[in-house]
Amino acid sequence: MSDIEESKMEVEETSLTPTPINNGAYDTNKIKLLKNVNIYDEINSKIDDYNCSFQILDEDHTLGNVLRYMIMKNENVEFAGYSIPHPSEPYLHLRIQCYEDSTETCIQVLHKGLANIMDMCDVVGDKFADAVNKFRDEE
Amino acid sequence: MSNNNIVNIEYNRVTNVTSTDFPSYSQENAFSTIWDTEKFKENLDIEIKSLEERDCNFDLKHVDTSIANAFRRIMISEVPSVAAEAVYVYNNTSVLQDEVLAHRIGLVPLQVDPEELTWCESTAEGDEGAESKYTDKNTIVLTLDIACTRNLNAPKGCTDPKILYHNSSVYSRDLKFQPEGNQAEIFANKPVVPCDDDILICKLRPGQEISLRVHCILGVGADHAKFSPVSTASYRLLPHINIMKPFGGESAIRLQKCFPEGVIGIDEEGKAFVKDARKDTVSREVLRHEEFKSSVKLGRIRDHFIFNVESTGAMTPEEIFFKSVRILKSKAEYLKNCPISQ
Repeated sequence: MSDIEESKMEVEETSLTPTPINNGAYDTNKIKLLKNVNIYDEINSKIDDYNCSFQILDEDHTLGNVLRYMIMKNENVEFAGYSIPHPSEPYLHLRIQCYEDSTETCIQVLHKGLANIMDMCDVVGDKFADAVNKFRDEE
Repeated sequence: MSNNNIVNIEYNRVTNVTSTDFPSYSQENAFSTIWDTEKFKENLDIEIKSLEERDCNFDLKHVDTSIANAFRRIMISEVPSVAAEAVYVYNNTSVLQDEVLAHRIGLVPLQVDPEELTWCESTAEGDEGAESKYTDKNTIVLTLDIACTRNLNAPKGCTDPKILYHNSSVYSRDLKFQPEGNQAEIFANKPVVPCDDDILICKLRPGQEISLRVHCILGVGADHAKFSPVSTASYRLLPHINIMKPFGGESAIRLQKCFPEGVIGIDEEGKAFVKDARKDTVSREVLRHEEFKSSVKLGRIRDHFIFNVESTGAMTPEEIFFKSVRILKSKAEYLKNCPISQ
C-alpha cells in the first residue's frame, strides 16, 4: 500500500491549492511585518526585531491557532497570540514577543514554528498510514 | 491527586481547561515543554477504531487541541472535491423554479476523483467569455433530460403516481455523464456518477419535463458547503471517570444506572468499576445524586481526541484525513517561503 500511496501523494500535492495567479512565484502580499508604533515618538518608531506583529493574508484560525501554539513552544518566546481583527476581512494578525535575552529574532521564531508544523504534519501522516495498515492487517 | 491532563467536569462548571505545556508558563520544567519533533513522534499515538467505505473512527492521542482542530477544520472546509457549479437550463416545466432546481443539483455529491481535474480559474464575474473558463481539463459535464408521461398500462383505479406515470420522480441517477475531450478514456474504469443514486431531485407530472446541462468543477468547502468532502468531521475528548470510594450492592447498581449501558461494570464482589469510559456521554447525571456527588469525579482527557469522519462518498475517509495533513503542511510551507514585506 505504501508504494501506491506515496506515488499518489506526489500527484496530489500539486493540486491541493489553487495555483497562484503569478504562477509559481510566492505572493509578496501574503505576510507583512507591521510597525510597532511608539506612542511617545511616532515618527521615530522603528521595527524591533524581538517584538513583532505580522499581518497574514487569507489565513484563519486553522493555521493561526497551530502557529500560535508552535511559537509558544519556543523557549525564546515570552508571548505569542493571534487575532482576526474583523470577521469579513481576510487578515490574521500574529503577535510575537521574545525575551530580552532571546537568541532568535521574531522572524526566525516564526520560520522555526512553520518548519515545526511541517515536521509535525509528516509525523502525523506517517503514523496515520501505519495505523491504517495495522487496522487492515488485523481485519 | 491532581492530574494536569484531565479537564474536570463539575456539576455546573468545568475546571483546568487551559493547556499549560509552554516554556513561558513555568521556569521549572521549561525545558521539557519546548517543541521537539522526535519527542512528539514518540508520544503521538493513532489508533483506528473502525474504518468503512464512508465512515471512520479513530483516536488521536497526545496532540494539542490546536492541531486536532486544524485537521478537523481543514477536512470540512479546505479539502477539495467536485460539485456542480453552473446549470444551463434549456427547459424546465416542473414545479421547481430553475434556481431551486440548480441548488438541489449542486448539493448532490459526485463520485469523481478530484485528482483528475485541475482548478478552474475564476474569470471576472458575469463577463461574456465566462463560459470559456470551463475546459475538458477542469470540468465534468452532466446532462439531465427527463420528461414525465402517463403509463397507459396502469391498472384501473390505481392511485400510486409511481405506477400511474413514467418518471414521476427525478433521482440523482438520472444525471448522465457526458464525456468531453479525452474524458471518456480517463474515466473509462471509474464511472462518473452521483455517490448515491436515489437522491430525489424533483417530482414531475405528465407533460412536465426538465432538460439541462450541468458543469461540475473543483472547489473547497470554504466557498460553498457543496464542495465539502465530509458530511461530518468532528472530535470529542475521551471521558474519564474516577470512582474514589468503593460502591457495592444496591448503591453499585444505582451508580451503574447513572451512566449509559456498558460504562460501569460490577465485579464478582458486587463492586462498581469503570468498564468503558469511552461509551459515556458525560451527562453528569451522577453528580445530581447526593450519595455519589462527592466521591465520583468526571472529566475528559485533554489530549485524547476521538475523531469521527463521515465522507460524502467521493473519497474514502482516510484519504480525506491524509489530505488534511498535507494541506496543513503546504499552508505552512507556502507561508514560510513568502517574502515578508514591510
